[in-house]
Amino acid sequence: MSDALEEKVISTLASVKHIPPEKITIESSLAELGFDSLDTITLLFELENSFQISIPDDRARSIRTVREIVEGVRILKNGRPIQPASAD
Amino acid sequence: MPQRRVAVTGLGVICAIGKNTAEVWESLRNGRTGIGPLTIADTARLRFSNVAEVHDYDPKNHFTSSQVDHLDRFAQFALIAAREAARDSGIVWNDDLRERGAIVTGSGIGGQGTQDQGFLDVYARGRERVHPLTIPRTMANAGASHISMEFGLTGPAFTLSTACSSSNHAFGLALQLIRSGGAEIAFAGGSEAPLSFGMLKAWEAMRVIAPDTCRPFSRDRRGMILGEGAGMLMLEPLDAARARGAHIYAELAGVGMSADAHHITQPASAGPVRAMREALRDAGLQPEQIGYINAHGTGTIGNDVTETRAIREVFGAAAEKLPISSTKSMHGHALGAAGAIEAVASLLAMKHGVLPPTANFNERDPECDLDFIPNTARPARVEAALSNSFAFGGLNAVIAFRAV
Repeated sequence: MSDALEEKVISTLASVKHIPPEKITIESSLAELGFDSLDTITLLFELENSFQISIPDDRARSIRTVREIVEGVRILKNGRPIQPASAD
Repeated sequence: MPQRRVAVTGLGVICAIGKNTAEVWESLRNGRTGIGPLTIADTARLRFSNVAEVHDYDPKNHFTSSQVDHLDRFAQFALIAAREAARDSGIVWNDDLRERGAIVTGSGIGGQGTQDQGFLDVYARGRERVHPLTIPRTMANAGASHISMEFGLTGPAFTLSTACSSSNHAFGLALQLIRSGGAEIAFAGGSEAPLSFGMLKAWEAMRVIAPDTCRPFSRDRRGMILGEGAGMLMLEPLDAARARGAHIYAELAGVGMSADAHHITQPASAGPVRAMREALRDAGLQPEQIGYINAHGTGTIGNDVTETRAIREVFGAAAEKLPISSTKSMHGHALGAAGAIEAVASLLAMKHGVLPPTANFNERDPECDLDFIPNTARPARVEAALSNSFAFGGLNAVIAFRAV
């Protein structure tokens, strides 16, 4: 089960890549979704704007999956990781 | 008719490591970097704070107040470098030479600082008008035009823009103009002044700027450092240069140009390979004759690996013994001026028999496993050298110099 933050991240990914959000899951990797380096920096720009966060370059470089993005945004938004209720 | 050969008879340069060739050479041979905290724009709202700016620069030392009104910083740099190159060449101008004199300059972004200011006035400050000299200061050909007016040159003059390859493309076209008899002398080079706040924010968003410094080919490299400045060469037919007893730095022996047709920013090795091969072919040089490469070497993860692979492919076994350095580690990446500053660095290296190092080099990267002259300059007599420029947009230009 996803939460609001995860849904917002996925909808941002979908809009950057012009693909339906249904094609994106928490397990998807950016490479599978066809993100190249420019799509990725555009995504970071959109995430920074919509979540009012600042994603450092070094951290951005290591992002590979949607899960990593969701977790990263959650940390930056809240200052610490928050386990989603559905996490097992 | 045999093709005319082209000599370099004058050098001019201004950048973070010096405001003339003597100062720049002192820095290059000592591996002294000009990278440091940005002072000409506000860093409070930037993710990075280090750049390679021209230090202690006061335009009033070079221009009258009314000249400064007409000149964006990038055009000032172009004129300063052109003046030095002309002086250094010892050329004595006459009407015929002026009429057959060409100017080919490169600039990636022209007078971005002036444009920034104008947009700030109308968008942010709500002003009704921008400064009336915004257009003539901003246009990318302003440097070439001011050089033509200052020296009274009335031959072919133009500016081309291929991002980080602009200067090398400019050298290529100037070479062809002189070879073909389309010009008897040429200023060729490039200038750039990208350190305005809007431009810095745009580069920040690209996420390729190092937070510390520029460490080309070093395993711990974290990106490029933006620079600024200009480089200019005085080119003339080799026969004419010899006839007037000019000092000849080297022959501009060849150019190789190619497009990756791959990606708007991601580097690929096939294009650089073809550009280097074409430069060698055009110059009539064998790979074994090349004694130095001034690499594109931006310090980004992508470029440095790709360039290493490309050099290996072109030079094969000879790559193992081939000294290569990225002087961007000292003067930063001056974008459209990069090739021109690096041409000056290469020619000074050939003149002095000393190869400038790759500064800030900490650790060998298994993926960049060539001789990058780490940190300390090296004495070496060089028969021929290449200088690489590979631009965003996948447009590549490599020039070849040969000692004469």
